[in-house]
Amino acid sequence: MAELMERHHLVSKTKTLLIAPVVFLSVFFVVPVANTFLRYFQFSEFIDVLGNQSLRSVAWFSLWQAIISTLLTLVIALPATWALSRYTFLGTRIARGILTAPFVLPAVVVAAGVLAITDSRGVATIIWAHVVFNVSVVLRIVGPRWSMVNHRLENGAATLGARPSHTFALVVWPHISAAVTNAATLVFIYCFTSFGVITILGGVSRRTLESEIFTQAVRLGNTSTATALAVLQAVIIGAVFFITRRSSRPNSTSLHVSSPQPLHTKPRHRITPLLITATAVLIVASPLLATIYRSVVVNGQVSLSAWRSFFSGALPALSVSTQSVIFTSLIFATAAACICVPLALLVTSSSAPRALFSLPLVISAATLGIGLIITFTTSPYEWRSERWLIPVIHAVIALPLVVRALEPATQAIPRSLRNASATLGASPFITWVRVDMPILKPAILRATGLSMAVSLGEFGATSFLSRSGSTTLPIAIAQLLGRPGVATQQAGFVLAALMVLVTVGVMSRA
Amino acid sequence: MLNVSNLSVAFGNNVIVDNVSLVVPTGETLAITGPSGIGKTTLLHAICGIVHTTHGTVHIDDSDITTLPTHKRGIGLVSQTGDLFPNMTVSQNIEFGLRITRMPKADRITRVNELLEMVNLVHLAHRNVPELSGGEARRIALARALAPHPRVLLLDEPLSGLDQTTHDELMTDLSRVLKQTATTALLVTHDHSEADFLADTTFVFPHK
Repeated sequence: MAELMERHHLVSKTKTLLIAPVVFLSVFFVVPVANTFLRYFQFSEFIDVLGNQSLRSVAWFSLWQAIISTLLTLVIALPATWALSRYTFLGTRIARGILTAPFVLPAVVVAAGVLAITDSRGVATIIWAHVVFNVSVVLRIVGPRWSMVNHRLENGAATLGARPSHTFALVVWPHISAAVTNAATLVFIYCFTSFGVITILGGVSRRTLESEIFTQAVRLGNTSTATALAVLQAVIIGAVFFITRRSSRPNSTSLHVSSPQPLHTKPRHRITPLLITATAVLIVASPLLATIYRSVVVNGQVSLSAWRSFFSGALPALSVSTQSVIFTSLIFATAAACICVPLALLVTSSSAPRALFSLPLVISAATLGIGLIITFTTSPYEWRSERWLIPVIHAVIALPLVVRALEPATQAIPRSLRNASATLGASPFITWVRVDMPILKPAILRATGLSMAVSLGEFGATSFLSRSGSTTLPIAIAQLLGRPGVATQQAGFVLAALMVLVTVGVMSRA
Repeated sequence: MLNVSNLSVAFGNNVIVDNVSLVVPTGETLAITGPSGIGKTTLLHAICGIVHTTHGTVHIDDSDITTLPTHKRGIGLVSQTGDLFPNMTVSQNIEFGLRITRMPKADRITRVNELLEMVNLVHLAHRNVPELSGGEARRIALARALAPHPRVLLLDEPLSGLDQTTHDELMTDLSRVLKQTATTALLVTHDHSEADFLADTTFVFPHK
């Protein structure tokens, strides 16, 4: 009892560490978003949007495609999660790697991959791209939980006469239900606010609220309508969080979960998990491989002309060179990581509430984008055309994910180690440098890789800020694939293939 | 001499340590006994500054250290689990406090060897922490805490959770080391035989 209260007392002392992250997020996220709503939201405009047949159909499409995408993702991802959490067979690690890689791939690359296979645009391709992108979300969130369900509980249920379906419903489900709800909520939000996928696969007829916000704000200059749409989007997202908030909390039974269980090496029905995993891998990997295939095959003939053109530095139909696009993306990714990782370390070293740092997950990139272009337009804050603003915003968007990546490692360092260091004469800073940092090094490397991957792939907010001198890889891919001409399209696939290789390379080393 | 006077610790409305006073003469060992969860560890943490006191003072000799941060108090702590840094070798763990004082490297090596000899573990100098047994880890934790010559050493159940043979061996070694180094020590234990064997005086922690 005394130890518990002591821990609580110590925890409360670390809130000062949050000053820098709170100021950063306030300036570059809270202020722009709040500014958008306060300056441009008019209730009459909101009512007009609801009454507008065209915009209403955009909202309806956003909703139903997100629901179907989420359900299909769960249908494909949950059995694969079960198979990979419970069984081991030849290729398990590769399968897990392939299924989780799209999480850090840019949505435009995934969309380009689906386009490379189907060569057509429409609802089916949009949903496929969403499934490819989001299977990894379910696997990453539900997988660890499922692998920790104690086998002895299931065996105990079986000895009491429970059929496998009963065992699942009564023993397994209570342990994983919160994780499944969390994953489903995130997947829904990612699909509902989809922008990169819609830009490439939506064509002229399919628009989501997110893409419509961009069109209204940037192309039509209609900020009030864009803001009304952003509010409508935020209301729906808020409602989803409200509906799922109870079931996304781990219930008390989850607390009795044991450490991860060893995988079965000789399952009686090995063929079922094998087939389930192979199906999921086929669905997810084929678009990624297709980008590479399409970058070297034109009209059925192998052609390296796009790669030659790429290495010569020319990008057809764009005013920037290959080198410039790659250099810009890498500089932005490095800068974003340099901002994001230290801030995330400060957040995770503190034990204050984290709700603020999850906000960038629930406010869409387009809403943030509008906020940035209307907030940072007047002196001395005339930053909207500044190149540095792009990596800063990438850091804002990556922050919630990087915090989540670092948190388990930070929390795993026993406080007693820091106490021991202090009693040996080390100041808190020396303790942080000599004790915390070496222990956290692998996690920091992973977090840096994740932050760089998010930056390399960010498309939504960058679309609002990008200028000719600051074109990033996803922006260039979307521009190339959105224009006619075989050479232009193939150049887009070359960049997409490059991103598949680079992102998977970065993440596998991190 | 360690002098704790009218020390209280409260977290919110919960008083954990209530008005405790004790004195440990220089070079002697005082044992604090009492049942688990009564606040013995919190008292040690208050003495070394890991938690703040709500009332009372802590003096070492003539200096009031009540408001000093932990790293400036010159008080060593050996916890129940040893808390060795897992990313460092045995030598690096012992050397940690010496590096903070910026002792020259040659002197640090000499001091580390001296302490390893004292706890009979010279052969483990380059061993990684996860490879140590429970008893070895406690010995290294003791050597590490003694390395920077602390003015007072706090021992928080340093023998708990060990098998009987290791417990007895370590208790003998601990007694020898405390006498050999003439360390002023405060030992927390719930085992009266440990208190009798190791301490010059025993203090029974008051019930709340």
